[in-house]
Amino acid sequence: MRMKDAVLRLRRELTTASPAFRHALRAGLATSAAFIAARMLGLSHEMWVIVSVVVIMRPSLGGTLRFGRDRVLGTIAGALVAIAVVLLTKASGVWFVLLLVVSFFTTLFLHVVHYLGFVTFLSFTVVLGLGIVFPEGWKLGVERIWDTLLGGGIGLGAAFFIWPNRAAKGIDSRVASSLNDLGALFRILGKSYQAGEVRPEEIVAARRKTYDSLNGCREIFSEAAAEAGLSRAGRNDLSRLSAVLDKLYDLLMSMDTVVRRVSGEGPPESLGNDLHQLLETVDLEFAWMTDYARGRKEETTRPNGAAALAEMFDRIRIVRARGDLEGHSMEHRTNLSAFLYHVYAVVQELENGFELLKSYRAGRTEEDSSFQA
Amino acid sequence: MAAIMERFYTAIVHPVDPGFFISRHAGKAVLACLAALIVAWPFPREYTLWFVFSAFAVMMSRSGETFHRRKVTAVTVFTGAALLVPFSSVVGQSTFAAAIYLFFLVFAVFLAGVLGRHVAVGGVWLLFVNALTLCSPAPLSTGLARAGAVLVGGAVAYAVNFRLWPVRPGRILRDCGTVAVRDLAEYFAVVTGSFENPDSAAVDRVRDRARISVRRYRRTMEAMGLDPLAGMQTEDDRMSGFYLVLVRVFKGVVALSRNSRFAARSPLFRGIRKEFAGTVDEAGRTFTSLAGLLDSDGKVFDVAGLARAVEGLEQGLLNLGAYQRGEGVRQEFLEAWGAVYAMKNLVAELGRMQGYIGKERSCV
Repeated sequence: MRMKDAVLRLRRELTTASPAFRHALRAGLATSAAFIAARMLGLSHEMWVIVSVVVIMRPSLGGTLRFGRDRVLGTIAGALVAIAVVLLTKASGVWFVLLLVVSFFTTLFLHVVHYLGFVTFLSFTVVLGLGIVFPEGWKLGVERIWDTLLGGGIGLGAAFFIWPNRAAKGIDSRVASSLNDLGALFRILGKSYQAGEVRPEEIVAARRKTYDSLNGCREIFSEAAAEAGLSRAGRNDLSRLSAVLDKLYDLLMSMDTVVRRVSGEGPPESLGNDLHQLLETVDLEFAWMTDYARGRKEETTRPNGAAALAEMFDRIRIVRARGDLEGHSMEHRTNLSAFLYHVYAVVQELENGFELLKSYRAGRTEEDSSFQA
Repeated sequence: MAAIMERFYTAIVHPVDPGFFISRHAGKAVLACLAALIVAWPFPREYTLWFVFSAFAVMMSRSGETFHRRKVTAVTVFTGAALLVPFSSVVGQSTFAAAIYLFFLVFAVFLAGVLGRHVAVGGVWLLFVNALTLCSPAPLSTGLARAGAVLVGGAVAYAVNFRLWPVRPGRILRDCGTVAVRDLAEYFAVVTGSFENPDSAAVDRVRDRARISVRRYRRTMEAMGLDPLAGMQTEDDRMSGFYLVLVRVFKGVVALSRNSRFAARSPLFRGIRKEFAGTVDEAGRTFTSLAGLLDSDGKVFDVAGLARAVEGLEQGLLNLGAYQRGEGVRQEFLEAWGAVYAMKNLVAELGRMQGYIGKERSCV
């Protein structure tokens, strides 16, 4: 990204409507508060309080809760074990130094692999190191636990009270965005199939965007699950909805393998218009579902992909009976069947997704009204 | 002891870090901190922490898709931190001023995160170096000396990270490729094993593992400054071509898992299902053999024979004429068609994979 673009991007975010701006403001206030608290309490390691706040702050409340929990648990576990080791070994000897080096290595290894493990080993290593430097270094292990609890508490407090951003509130837009990206991928695949020409870069770009979008969706689901206020039924609906979105993605990946085998030939001419009609209907169904996920009411009729498929199959029967498909190679015909199978499976999953979204929305409305009552 | 170490390696290290990419970086980070500690030795003890912490920050801020971007991130972290450290030292003397300064610093770092992951990661480590300084207030002269320590510690870490112990892309990618093929083979085995007894949780678990393995191959390429999509058009590029085959094989298995339980209750399709199961067994053996080929202890498998078996299945399915027997049978036919087609794609990709592995072996 060029400097000019970066500045423009940052300027766009400088508004209270921007989630990034709110997150930065929340983190800034929490960290300053932690620093003041640490100084007023006369803590010898103010830095630990600050770091605890910075590392647990996440854009959503659920995310902060998850990282806060891991940070506190990991620190307590690592520091307690290290205190025991320091007291038992008197923090001396070659073996102790070796243990410190191995523990440091493990910390760095886990940094990329496992957050809770990383935090645990980090505290273990820090307390071992302090045990060597200071005669009563193990006491700093206890201090580290208290400092982390203080920092974690301040971070969580900020997440709860300063513009609390409940992950559950962002679910609608994330699901809508995932459905939109899935729809875009479906559209590209459909167009490629109809044109008999594949543009791999376009497909790969859409696939990556969809994959990232689904990851974001999964993340927000798990963050929402960490927050209080989501019923068990709501959690189940979200987990099943996540599975449906994954299945749609898998289906489109599988459809991609079919589309890539079109080898310069589009669908048989006698079926071109019908196939176009079918793909457009499914595309509209994706768009309708996207709007529905964003919160639109069921006032407009949902485009009926299943009915369009049934019409398509009727049309194929007529075309086949007329012998119009005879001139096409077996490979070409089997490819069409495989493509239609995938459209059929996509339509089925869209139906499942719709039922789950409906159930999730109904459950949420009930929760909201009982909360207001 | 050796047996325990081997088991530990096979079960824990190899699946996560087949090319020792993460381990190597962790080792380098330990070395960088030790080197910074040695460099700091002749200087007064009060600066040691800044030498070592700066080195640690540079090693931890490893982010960026390409080698060049990671170098830029590393340099930005230690030079940016060095520029701010004198100011942080002085400001730290007043609690009020320090709190306001910290607020703006944290705000800027968190907001800048929207520019990309490398900015977010680098920014946080730059922030930590300054927070450390802020918590140890000192006059400007000490702040300037600390800035020097940060610069030297960062430069030592930079040298260790980017100049020492260079990686060998071929070897690391081959290891990543072996793990990816093994994971894909296991995914395939679980998918086909769940034809009769569906276990969606197990399928999801191994699917995610296979996906991570394939992505790891890609990330490793990117980390070495190689373009994973270079072979997209021509597939001439050996490494990126192999990556694309891995992706397609993964998609092939996904397709198979979506379609595998076709026409489960239909007597009309019983014969086809039996033949399908036989072909799947054969494909499973091919997969295992391919993973072995990368380890140089497997034998070349007859993929062409497998392709012929799938064609036989395809013909058998067409001979049933199910498409014309009404809606119910047509639906079962479509399901069966999806499965056979998925198998056909998969076998074609296995053939390509064998070709790439052959090239890979001849190059090693």
